[in-house]
Parts: sequence; C-alpha cells; structure tokens
Amino acid sequence: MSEEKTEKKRLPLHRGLFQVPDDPNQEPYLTSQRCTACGTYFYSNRKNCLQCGAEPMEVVPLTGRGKLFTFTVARKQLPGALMQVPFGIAIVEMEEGVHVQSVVDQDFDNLKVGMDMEVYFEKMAEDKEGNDLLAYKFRAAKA
Amino acid sequence: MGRVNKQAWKNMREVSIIGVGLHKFGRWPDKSPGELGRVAIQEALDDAGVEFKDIQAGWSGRVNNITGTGPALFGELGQPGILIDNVEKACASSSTAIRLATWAVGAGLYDVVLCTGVEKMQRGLVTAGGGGGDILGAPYAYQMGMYLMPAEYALQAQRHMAEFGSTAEQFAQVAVKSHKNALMNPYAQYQIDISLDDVMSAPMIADPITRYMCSPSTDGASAVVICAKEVAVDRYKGKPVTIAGWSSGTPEYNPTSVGDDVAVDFVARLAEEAYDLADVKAEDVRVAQVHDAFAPGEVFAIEALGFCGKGEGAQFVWDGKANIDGEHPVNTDGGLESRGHPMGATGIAQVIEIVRQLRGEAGQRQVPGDFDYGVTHNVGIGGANITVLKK
Repeated sequence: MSEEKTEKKRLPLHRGLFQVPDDPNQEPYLTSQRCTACGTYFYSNRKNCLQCGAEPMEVVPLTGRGKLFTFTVARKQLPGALMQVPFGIAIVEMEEGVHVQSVVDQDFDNLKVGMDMEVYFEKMAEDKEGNDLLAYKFRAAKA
Repeated sequence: MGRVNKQAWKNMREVSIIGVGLHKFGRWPDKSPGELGRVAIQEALDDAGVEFKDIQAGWSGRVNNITGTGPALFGELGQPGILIDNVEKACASSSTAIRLATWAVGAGLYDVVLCTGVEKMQRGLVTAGGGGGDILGAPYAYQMGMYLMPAEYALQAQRHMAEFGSTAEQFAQVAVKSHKNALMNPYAQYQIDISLDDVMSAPMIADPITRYMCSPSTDGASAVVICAKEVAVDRYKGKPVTIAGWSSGTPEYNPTSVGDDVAVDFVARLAEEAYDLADVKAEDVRVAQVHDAFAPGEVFAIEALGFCGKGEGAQFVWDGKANIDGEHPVNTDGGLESRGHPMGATGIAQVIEIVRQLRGEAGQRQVPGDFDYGVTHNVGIGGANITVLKK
C-alpha cells in the first residue's frame, strides 16, 4: 500500500491558551501562565509579568473548574466569527484564581453568578489540512 | 504610579475654553468630514469672537481614517501654515486633543489654539479590532464571537447586579433619562421620547443591554477655541470657562478585572487626581458628561466620579439623582446614547455641554441653581480622560 494519507490530528484553535495532547486518548486541558518571581497567574501569552515585570513565565495546567464570575448572552453576530448567536459568554474564576473567558452554548439562559462551572473542549473548525481545531467552552459543572 | 506634578500644573497659566461649536450629530452620508468640521469650527470661532487667522496651532481628533484629517478640517477655513497634529485615542481622541492644547497654552507656547473632533462612521456594530482576514489567525475572543463592545459592558453590568443588587430596569433607566434630555438638545442625533417599557422590550443585544441602551453610529463634528485666560479676557468676547484639572491614564493590572476596556477602578483613580489638580471635591462638581457608550457605562462612571458609593450608581440613576434637576445631573445633552457618538468628536462634544451648562446657556436643559464646576469622562480603548471645568 503506497497511499500516504496522514491521519487527522486534533489541534488547538488558538495556540498557547490550552494544550491538546498528541495522544488522542488524553484529554485537552487549560493552561495558564504563572510568574516565576511573584506567582501571579495570567491567562494570556506573555513574556513579562504584568504585576512585577519579571521574566520568565512558566506554563501551568489548570484544573478546568471554577465559579462563574459574570456572564452575558451575545445576541449580535460578530462578522466571520465561528460561534453563531445566541450564545452565552462567561468569565470564570478558576480554582487557581485566574479569570478565564469563553462561550457557553448549553443552557445559557440559566447562568447565575457564583455557580460551579467546568471547561470542556469541542471541535470548532478544520484547518486547510483537514485537522480538527478544538475550542474550549464552559458549562455548568456536573455534580 | 506616575502622578502629575501638581505644582508644575499650578505654575502653568490658566487655560480657558472661549468658543464652542458643533455640527449637528446624525447621519450625513452626503457630507465629507471637512464639511462637518467646517461648520463646527466656524461656530466655535464665532462664539469666541476669534478670527481663523488668529489661531496659532491645532489638534484634531479622529479614529477611522485619521491620516490627514487635521489639515483637511483646518484647510476648509484657510491654510495659514500652523502646527496641526492629529490625535487618536479611540473614543477618547478629542478630549486628548484638548489636553494637549491645554498643556501647550498653559506652558505659554501659544495663546490661542483650536481643537476639533470629527467622525463619519460605518453603520452597524463597531468591533474593537481583530476581525478581517483569516478567522483562524484572529484573537480567540474574536474567533469565538465574544469580542463585542456591548458584551464588555454587559459582563460588567451582570457582575454589578450580582454583587450590588442593581437591576436591569435601573440600567435601562439610564437610556430613558438620556433620551428625555436629548429632546431638549437641537444638536442631538435622536430626539425620541421613550419609556422604560420601550427600553426593556427593545431587541436584546447582550443581556441586560437592549438596543436603546447602545450608542448609535453617528456622523458629526465638534470644535473648541482654547485660549490663555489672561489673553482671552482682554481680547475676545467669548466667556472663558477654565480647564481647572484633568487626568489621563490607563488601567493598572488587576487579575479580577472584567475587561480593561470598561474597567472602573482606574477611572476612580483618575477622577481623584483630576479633582486634586482642580482643588475640588466630588460634591462640588455639580454636572457631568460621561461615556455611556452603553447604558451601564453611565452607572460605572457615576460611581467612579464619586457622586455615590461603589455599587450605588444604578440606584442613584433610578432615584432621579442624575436627572437635570437632581443632585448631580449626568449627560444633560443626551449622552453618547442619544446625542450620538461620532467617536472622534465625542470628547469635545462632552466638554462643550459642560461649557454651556457653566455659562448658563443650556436652554431648556439648563441645570438649575448656582454651581461652579462640571466634569467630563471620556473613555477610549487605551485609556480615559477626565476634564474638570470651572466657571
């Protein structure tokens, strides 16, 4: 057999915010940056700490669980965006204290500040090679 | 934290606004920015009793397609070869122009200068950037459709509701009040009387923000003549209103802030600094024009300006304390929501309304009683400007 069909891979829709292991049996997980000098967490890709200015930053995994800090429901479509309105937007205070924002597309009419939330990962798009591009989303934590 | 050297500010000459002019805000598809600007500039010059040839320098605020704007606007009236700088700070562009002019005149570099603001806006949703091109290369918030300006304010509002018990109706009341005020402002884009029920039942944009709680897309222009007060009183007829204090800055890092674009805490810090430069307290500042790009923004600004405690702003509006006959009237000209929000022209338009109020020339919407101070709060992506004005 000479057919060179590369296997479809799972890749992050956006790099640096979460990890998608090469092994398809391993679950993706959210990551955060943490300042090696003062310990402040950042949910972004940075070289220097916003709090103390130090470098370097280290990448640490997050548990993916937290409490809903605030939310809204978007009902106006952003042109070209991958999500179609309506959908919820949530800012979750993760167990590590860092705030992470993403969408809620399950039961977003029943969001309540303070409720337990969890992250999950879902295919949002494909790249030109046909690989699955995963996004992270929030939903009410399962008991 | 870098703070302004108060003594250096006090050592500057007193700087005043002696002429104000607007082109009516609205939709002017057939008018160029130059045509809009010319009307505003001419009105400001006439109001001041200043001839265009007397203007020694200029600062021009605009957001979209800013290149060449200042020379184009000034060029409608003449080409005297003076310094003309373009100034861009998103929705806070023209209040930035006023601050730069204040520094230059206060330092004695010029006596009489002109500031302008203009915008012609696309219809529909204003995005904060990140769109266009390949969605796969866009920022995550854009990819996922979250980067909506109304959503930024809505996230703050929902937090406010959960933390302080404010209600959607209280936020909606901001829009009711703004529209009522705009009925008395001939320069306003929207002159429609709407009820609380109208606001609440309008199409939802980002809960709890409905369509009437959003500033519209607007074309318009604004201009002020700024002059050293000692020069103004001798030479020109325009009644001087003093720029008593100011502050400008950007949000400090806060791991629990909802979004830097609408962060509240740094505005409170700036207000405190501006009041300090003006040697005034919040209770002495009677009237305010604030950045209600979306209705909750007025509530956050009322708190940041110190008119009430943190968390009390929505109740403040609900109780009528921000009405024209209230404790601290806010957005007496209709605000961004009803006067309109041509981004580059908004900062100067806010200052113009305070000038009119301090001169006692605000007509039907004149704040009653005797008062000496007013303040403007103008926010753009990348920072905020607070300007304290004195009779």
